[in-house]
Amino acid sequence: MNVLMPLRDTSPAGRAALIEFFVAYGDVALPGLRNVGVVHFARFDILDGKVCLFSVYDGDFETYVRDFIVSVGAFFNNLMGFVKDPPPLPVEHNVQAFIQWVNERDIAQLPESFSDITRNVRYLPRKLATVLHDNPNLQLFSYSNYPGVTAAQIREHLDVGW
Amino acid sequence: MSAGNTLVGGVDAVNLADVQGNILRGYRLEHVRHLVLRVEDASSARATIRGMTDGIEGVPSLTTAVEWPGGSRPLYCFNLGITFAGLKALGVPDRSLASFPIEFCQGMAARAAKLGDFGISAPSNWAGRLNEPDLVHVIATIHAGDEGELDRLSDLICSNRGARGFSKLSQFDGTCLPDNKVHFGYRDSISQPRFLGVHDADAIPDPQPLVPLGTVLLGYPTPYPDVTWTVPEPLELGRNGAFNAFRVLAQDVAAFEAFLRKAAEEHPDELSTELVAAKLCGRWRNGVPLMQSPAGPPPDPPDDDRSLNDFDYDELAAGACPMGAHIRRCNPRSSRIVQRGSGGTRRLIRRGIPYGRPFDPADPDDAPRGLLANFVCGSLEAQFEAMQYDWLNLGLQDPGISGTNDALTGANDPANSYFEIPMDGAPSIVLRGFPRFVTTRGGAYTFLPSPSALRWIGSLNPA
Repeated sequence: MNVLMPLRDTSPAGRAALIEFFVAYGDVALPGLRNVGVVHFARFDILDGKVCLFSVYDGDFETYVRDFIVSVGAFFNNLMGFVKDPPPLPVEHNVQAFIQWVNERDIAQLPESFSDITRNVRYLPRKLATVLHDNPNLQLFSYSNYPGVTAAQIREHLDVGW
Repeated sequence: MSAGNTLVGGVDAVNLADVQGNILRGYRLEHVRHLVLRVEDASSARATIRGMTDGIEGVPSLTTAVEWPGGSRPLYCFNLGITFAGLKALGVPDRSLASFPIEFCQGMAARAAKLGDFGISAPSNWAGRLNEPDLVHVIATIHAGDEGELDRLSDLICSNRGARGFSKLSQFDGTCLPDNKVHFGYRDSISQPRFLGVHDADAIPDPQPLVPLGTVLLGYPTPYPDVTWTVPEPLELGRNGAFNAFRVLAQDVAAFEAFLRKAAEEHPDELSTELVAAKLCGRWRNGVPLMQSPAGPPPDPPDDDRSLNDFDYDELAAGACPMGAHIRRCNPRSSRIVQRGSGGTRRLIRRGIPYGRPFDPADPDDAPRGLLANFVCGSLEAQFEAMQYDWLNLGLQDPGISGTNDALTGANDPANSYFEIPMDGAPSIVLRGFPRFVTTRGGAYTFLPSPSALRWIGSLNPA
């Protein structure tokens, strides 16, 4: 998941407020992600005036976002105070709208591999052309040092409980 | 309805007259017909729907959840599910349509990848014109003790040169097998969620907590504390409705029986065909759970069916019931699972009746047979799809089964299928090389509107 959420206030003071928020609530709220169980990592960054959530998880996107809300919904409700065009709040009562909202801000991932890529836009595969047209941001490639292994399996092997 | 459940009388948590009858209980009538209908003329179709809720002669009457007088079964039960394309075709306004959840709007065929419906199960191969989801508007379901009733009621809706506003795309007929079994030989429909405010917790011995009504009905508390599902607007349309995943699931009994025999032959000291069948499911084929009777030979069925849910899983006794066993995958009960916030949240109502003639092991054939299944829930995405994707086909709930599909119903490929049977005090036995035993032959997501909602739809008067 690579969600880009434009900030309401990109000034130094606005960004300081966000830092203050994470200092106050990050360590308190985010351990709630343990209840989701499928998260490898999640990080928040500010990039080009957007607060960004990057996370790697196992399983399905919608299930993950919903379980996220269930576990750390209050945290998200507060975070939404910092972003432009927030979803209907509280997220716990607008679950489907929130999943949709996140989906719209998630960087597109490329559809199935293309064997005949061309740089001539007239000859681009139609599906790829559509993705490129609709999405200025794209996840190009990802690598895993342990493909096909879940977060819970790693924790089990490390004997740290899952 | 699971064995021995009774509805509590005088319930004021929910108005049973305003809930379709197939949601909170099963009918236990022997025959079923699902009519796949297209709306040909919206105005006539709306009039027919009005007739179903208001008891107009010549139109089947909708069955509600109201108790039958004296407990006697009626001649027939009749219910209606409407797809998103169907709501549009009936003239439901855009503002209401926009308030339905996205997975329902997209429909089952569009969600195929998530549901494991690829390859031979892909929507392009679906039967009964379910491969043309835009045309599938309504699934009308008739249950009856007498097969003649099915024809009589079908004719009321579909004949008369379309005067009722619908044309029939196809029908799927099913008939109960003896002892409530499915073609694989298992007794089915033993465990169903029981609802707070509806069922009596003490009616049967079952350690599972009663679930909130919002597990299936819209407008009530959901299984997640403080989380609600969006109820489609207006409230009259959404409240007391439920979502349904209708599935036509073909079962390859010959392949299944051959696999059981092969596994037993390869491990003659540890396994028998019946023990393999029990390990795959979590219950012996007569319904007795492994947690009550972990070792062979197959136990006798109990005198009192009501005891069949009186068990829980014990992590220390993995040798009894594998985590990957079908009923444990679908409903881990109080087992520790990876998604620890989701334990009891994906429960759903299952209603299925087999189709096709019984399999005869003495004369094996590959005649079409399977299950006409309905999975009813408050959120298709949070319950049906999450179970199908994360639990049945990915095994995310336990690191020991992650990356494997459900052996009984999953999208298996002999190249990588895998089922591990933990053995007490000995190395696990791993079974491999089994194919898909269940193929999806069709399906549709439907909304099961309340009688009030059907009246609302029936009274629409689009410009």
